[in-house]
Amino acid sequence: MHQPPSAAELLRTVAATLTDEAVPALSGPVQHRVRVAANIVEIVARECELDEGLRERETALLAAIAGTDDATEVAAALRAGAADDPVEHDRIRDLLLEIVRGDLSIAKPGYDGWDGD
Amino acid sequence: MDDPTQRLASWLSTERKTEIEVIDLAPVSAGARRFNALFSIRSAGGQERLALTMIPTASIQLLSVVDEAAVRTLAEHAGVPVPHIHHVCTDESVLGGPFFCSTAVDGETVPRRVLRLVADGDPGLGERIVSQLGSALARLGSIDPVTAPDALAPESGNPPIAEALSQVDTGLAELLEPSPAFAFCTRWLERHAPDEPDQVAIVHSDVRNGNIIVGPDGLRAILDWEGSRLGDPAEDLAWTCQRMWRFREDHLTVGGLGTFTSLVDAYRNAGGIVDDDRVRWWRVLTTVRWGLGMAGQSRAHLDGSFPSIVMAASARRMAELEFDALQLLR
Repeated sequence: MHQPPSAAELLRTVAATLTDEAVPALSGPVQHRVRVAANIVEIVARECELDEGLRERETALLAAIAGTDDATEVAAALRAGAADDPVEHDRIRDLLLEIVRGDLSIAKPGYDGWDGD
Repeated sequence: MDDPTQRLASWLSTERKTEIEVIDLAPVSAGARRFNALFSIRSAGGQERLALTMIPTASIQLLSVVDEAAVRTLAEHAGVPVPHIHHVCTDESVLGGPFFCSTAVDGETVPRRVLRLVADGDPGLGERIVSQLGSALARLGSIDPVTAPDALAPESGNPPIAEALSQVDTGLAELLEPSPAFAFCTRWLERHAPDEPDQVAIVHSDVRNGNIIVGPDGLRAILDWEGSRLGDPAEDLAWTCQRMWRFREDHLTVGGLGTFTSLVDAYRNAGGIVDDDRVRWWRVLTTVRWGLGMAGQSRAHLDGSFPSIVMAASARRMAELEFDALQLLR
């Protein structure tokens, strides 16, 4: 058992160091790459904390889509027409949106605040 | 003669048959594929401000500089605002890659600065830019495709809708992890595919906030024609509407600048014919294709063909495009 900080807390410290100290000291393409690096570290920090819960939820959502929690099988069923019926289309689209909202809570929090045009 | 400024001056002197001095050569951006710089030339005739676009030899060239210059010239003659091309050089020994020199057009290109200019400018500026984009795209679509360079035709020989569906099918098959969201969208795309367009047209393929120069007076130029090809003109209209090009101004469909209505009204007023369902289909298609492209970038990082931290991060952006595509299917 590690003493704190946790992995996520350590990664946040890395991200803060990159963003607050390295980025202002750099310029040009290297500065851009370090910004990307800081963003990646923040994503991984969120993944450390959220991923387990999200995968459990994803399993349930996948099963509700096509009766199996195997993502490859669900994708194949959808490609083969499992959502062709208009009622199924809407139901499945909303379940898929829930899965993607989970991924976005790690990759880009706040991006899901848009309801289409 | 090791200095690129000197080599450029010497090459331009030969081109123009007069002694030319190159001054203030300054890089403005170094993308993954091309190097852009601004400079001035001085000769007995006076001073002129030019832009240099160079494609490093090692990088992937979508269109040759000769073909890109030909497309831009066709577009210019049709009334599309593009920086006029003065010189094209295919001799890679001059600067280390083929290049062309065009008129330097003043204004903003960086998306956030474009949006700030619009926010600070007169109230109608954003919608005016969008209308100007609509007219420009209609003019681009009016060019007889027979006059386009041969390199613009797709290698597969497929018509545009079939070609786009085939790209998405390939992209889905190449994913390292399945995407139920994109499988759902692809099925929708296949079932709702519009008829192939009656006639193909020159498609720029990347008209967006970020590839335009704007000033307080409006649209001044459309840049970056390296992805031009023959296709369905509705694709360009759709691509300008990508949420990614709005830079958080989500309520303004076209680049965070103005409404879809402004774009389409101007397109129609300039003689273009457009079907809203066709544009919507292309919006879904290009969103899915871009998301699959993000995953492809990360594969290129993983397999060592293009190791880069930016490419490595791309796959985690696929969820953004999955979300946008699903929202378009409401």
